[in-house]
Amino acid sequence: MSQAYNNGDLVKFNGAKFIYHDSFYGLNSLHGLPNIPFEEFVEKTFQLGGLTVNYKGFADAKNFVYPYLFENSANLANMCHSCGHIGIAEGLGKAIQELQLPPWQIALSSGIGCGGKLSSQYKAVLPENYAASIPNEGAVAAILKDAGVSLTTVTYLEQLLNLNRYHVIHGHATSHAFGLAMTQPGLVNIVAGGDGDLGAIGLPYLKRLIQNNVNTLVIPMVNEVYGLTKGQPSPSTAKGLKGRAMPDAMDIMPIDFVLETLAIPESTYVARVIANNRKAMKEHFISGIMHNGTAIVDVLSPCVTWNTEHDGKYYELYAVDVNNFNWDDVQTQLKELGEEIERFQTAKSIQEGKVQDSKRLKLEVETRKYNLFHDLLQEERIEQYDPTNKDLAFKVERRLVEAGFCAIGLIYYNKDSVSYQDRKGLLPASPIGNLTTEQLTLSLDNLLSLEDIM
Amino acid sequence: MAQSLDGILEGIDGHDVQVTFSQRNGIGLNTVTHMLGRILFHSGYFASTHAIFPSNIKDENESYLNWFDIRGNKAGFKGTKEKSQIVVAMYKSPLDYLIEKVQDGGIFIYDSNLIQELSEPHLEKLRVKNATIYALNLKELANIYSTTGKGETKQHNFARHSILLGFVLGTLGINETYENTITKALQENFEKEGKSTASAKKLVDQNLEWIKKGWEIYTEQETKLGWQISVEKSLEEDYLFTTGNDMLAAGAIKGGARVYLGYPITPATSVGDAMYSMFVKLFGKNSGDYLFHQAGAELEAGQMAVGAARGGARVLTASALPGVNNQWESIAMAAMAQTPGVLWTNVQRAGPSTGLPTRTSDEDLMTMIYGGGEFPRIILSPGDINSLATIPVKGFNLSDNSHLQVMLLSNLWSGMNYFTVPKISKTEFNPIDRGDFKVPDEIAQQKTPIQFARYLIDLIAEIRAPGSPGATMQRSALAKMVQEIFQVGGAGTYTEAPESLALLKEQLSKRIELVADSLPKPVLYDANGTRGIYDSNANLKGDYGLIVWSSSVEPAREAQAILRHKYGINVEILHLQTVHPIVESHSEMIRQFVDHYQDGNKKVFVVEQNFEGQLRKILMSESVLAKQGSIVPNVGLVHKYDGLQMTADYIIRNMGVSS
Repeated sequence: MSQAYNNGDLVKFNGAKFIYHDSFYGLNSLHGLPNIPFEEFVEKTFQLGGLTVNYKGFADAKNFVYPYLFENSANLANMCHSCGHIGIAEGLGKAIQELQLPPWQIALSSGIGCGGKLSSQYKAVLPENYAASIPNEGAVAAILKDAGVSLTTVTYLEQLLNLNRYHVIHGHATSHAFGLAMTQPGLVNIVAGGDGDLGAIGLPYLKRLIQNNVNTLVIPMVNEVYGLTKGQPSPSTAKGLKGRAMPDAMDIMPIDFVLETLAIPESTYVARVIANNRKAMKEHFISGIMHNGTAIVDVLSPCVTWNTEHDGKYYELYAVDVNNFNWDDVQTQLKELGEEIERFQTAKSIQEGKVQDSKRLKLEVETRKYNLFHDLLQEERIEQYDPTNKDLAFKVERRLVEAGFCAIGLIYYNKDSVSYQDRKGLLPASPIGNLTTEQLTLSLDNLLSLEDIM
Repeated sequence: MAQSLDGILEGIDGHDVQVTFSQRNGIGLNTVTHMLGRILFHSGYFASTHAIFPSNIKDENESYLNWFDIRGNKAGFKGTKEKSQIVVAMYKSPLDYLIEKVQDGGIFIYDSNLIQELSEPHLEKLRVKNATIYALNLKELANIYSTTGKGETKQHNFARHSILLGFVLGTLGINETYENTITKALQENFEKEGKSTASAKKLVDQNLEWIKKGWEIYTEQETKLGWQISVEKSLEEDYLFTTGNDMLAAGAIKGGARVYLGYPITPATSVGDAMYSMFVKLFGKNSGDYLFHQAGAELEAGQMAVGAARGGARVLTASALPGVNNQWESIAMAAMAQTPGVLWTNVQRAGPSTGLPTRTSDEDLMTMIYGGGEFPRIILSPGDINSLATIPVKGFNLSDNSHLQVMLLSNLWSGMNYFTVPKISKTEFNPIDRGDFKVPDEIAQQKTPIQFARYLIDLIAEIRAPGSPGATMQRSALAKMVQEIFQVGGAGTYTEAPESLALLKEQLSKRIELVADSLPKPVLYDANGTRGIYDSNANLKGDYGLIVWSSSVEPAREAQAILRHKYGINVEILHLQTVHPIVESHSEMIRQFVDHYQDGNKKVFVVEQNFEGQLRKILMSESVLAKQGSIVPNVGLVHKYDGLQMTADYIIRNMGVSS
């Protein structure tokens, strides 16, 4: 059971660290909704590839009081219908909601491109029952009117209670988040960008963020194209892929965010999910937020306009879920699939031939990928993948990528991670960004002290 | 035969000496020049150094130009002169320049081991100058007097240089009588380099021994000029001997900066170094009260700076043009999102692009005004060294009160050389003014709603850092607002309506009106050289007017004094510390100043260090001097663009003054 907090307490809550201001939660001061019932939060937990993720939350989602029912399904950023990035927005929204984080403790920085539109996706929507009868609404409305604010109370609160969103320059959502972390070290700091933004122009700065292990969640949104500029290849474009707007098929192997992360000695966390798996995304984002360091959660996010060949099914087919691999089960599956194909081989229908083709492809690809993965485990003389082994992770991902596959799941983590904020002694209890004018003003003694070394 | 110094030492009141040391770079010349500078400082002189150094670490081939001028004067001028009374040459490469630098009747000392003999043309030049020549075999002397064995080592270099220093001090009459002054200066020198008091003392003792050898050697010379410069009370009570970059760093911290983001680049690196040392001195290491970070590139530093500023801090980032050119996207983004808090500093150097990284210029004015795109901004240029410590707070205050991007222009000459400046504890106090920025405690007590509208000029959107309620979406230009934003209390959402973009441009450009009165006003140095804020009631009486910006103000002031004392010519100087925008009230002052010099034989010049005469071009445009319907005035240009700082003599020569 969580305890209630008092004004001025340093709160460490679900990945965020901040000073508790009780007036932030009282509607009288126009800042928020009634007090968070912290005492109602329970310890919650789930397993992710062998990592136990602990956080605090409501036992029953129906009891959510905190107003971030982020409206993702409204597709505020106007993405193409069924775009993978909408799924990412929903997954992230659900993760934040589950964690019941005060929205002002969250900062989302995104770059340029379709991936950069993630920061435009969020709108706080007040819970229905609350919106119907806002306490003190009359008083609040009067204050708004007095100040000449022409919004309704509900709209005002929705504006007020959104998370911090920053749409920054190409390749630098990472640098921007790094800057935010310096002066507001306790934030839940999220970075999102496409595979061009983070993998081409932004790759060196992503690596600097990882090298410094700044406490952030970074979401490379990989669709193997430059969507917003209409279909050019990206560094992640798979060898052999020719998207509809590309002049030629890609002739070289891609840059891989997982490998880039693992190659950095200081890296402490990398995972990958496919955007159509909302539940997995939610869990991975929660885990990434709870990780004390740079958490890379790469998302394969199909582009329905420029890269229709590599849709969700394709990604599923060519990915190996490293955390849920059982060689016996796999062998059984492959055997059954093979038998199924044989059974239908005797039928005469041409239409069945189509089903046969996709089933044959599945059999061929899965046989190759699972055998490869199994061989890799065997080389290490292990039966199960171990995500705390960085050498293994690097080897597995590299060999999979070279063969045209990739790993998904929790690929590597180091639970003894020390973040940049910790190393630098940055104080969530008194962030540099919160220093008052008095605190910033140098005293005479300070000036004399500086003169000593000038 | 004792010789009066007055005939040799030029200057306003006879107390003005300059020494030039030259040695190939990378073997310790810096140390001895700083020592001499500090000795002069503690002898009551306003001391400055001027380094000509190459973009190189160690000149093994003896092919690069490397020398220091060290000057001490009582009138308070900062900067150096073209000629030195004493020139010391320790290698061949720059001999032509060095011999040219010898003042008539001066002294030329050279290391006879390294320069076996002077050429006949060189000797002739020195004869014409009536120079006294000393040839010292410094290698031999160093070997004898060094405490380590034979073979060229660091110790030999230190010994060699300090023996020379002793010799030079001997020529000036600074001998054992003044040992205390010397010891004090050396002790301070080594402690400022970071040595402990005890280690510094050891070095002082060692160097004093070598200096004494130098005195001895001088005493043994046949020809002695009998100079004696006055040695008076140290200036330490009210002044410091420090670099412009140190002043800038101190000024930034005084102005509330607690974050430094940058990347090493000549000549801005030492701004970061100074800030780091100062942060550690004030707060200790890893204290969480400040943040110093060397980014992977200026490109990265720029975006980090905006992120850190959005987190609520005042941020200093300093670079030179190659770095600033990388930062334009970040500057433009911050401009269009109206994020205050970053002071973008360009310590200018000779360029563009890589250029000559170790030479100075003031050639980036137009780049800073027009770079990155069409958006309004504020550009300050302190100009005089003293103002480097007082202007940054004004820059930050302007940023917080206008939500425009503020840039500060300095240059290599001011930044990397040493000057005698007023102590920062004794100069004007300018309070930190954060405008509408609120910290969480203030927000917690707030009873009025937040205005989300960001583009109204009569209503600045409240700024708050993440961590407190009131999140806003900060996004760069791309027509991010909706009609509603222009109504008080509107909410911001994305729009591409054409009228919104037009309105954005108009509204943004009006933001300067919010702070026009707070922009640092033009400074006038009247005919007597007295500094004051320009007043439209000023009774101008000059024969020549000089309009200056950046560091040309320093030699201009000296030129003004020389012309008054030596030739009875009155000069008035208008020094612009806000170089953009030149708002109407400032324009009026400039017009009035220029008008005075349109009469008869009077002349007015813009004095600047770039090829295009950039400030002059701006002043001559219709927004300042060439207003519609007016007569275009006559304004001349004195400019220098060879990578070296102007001197007073240079300005006088180029003013076409007839004495």
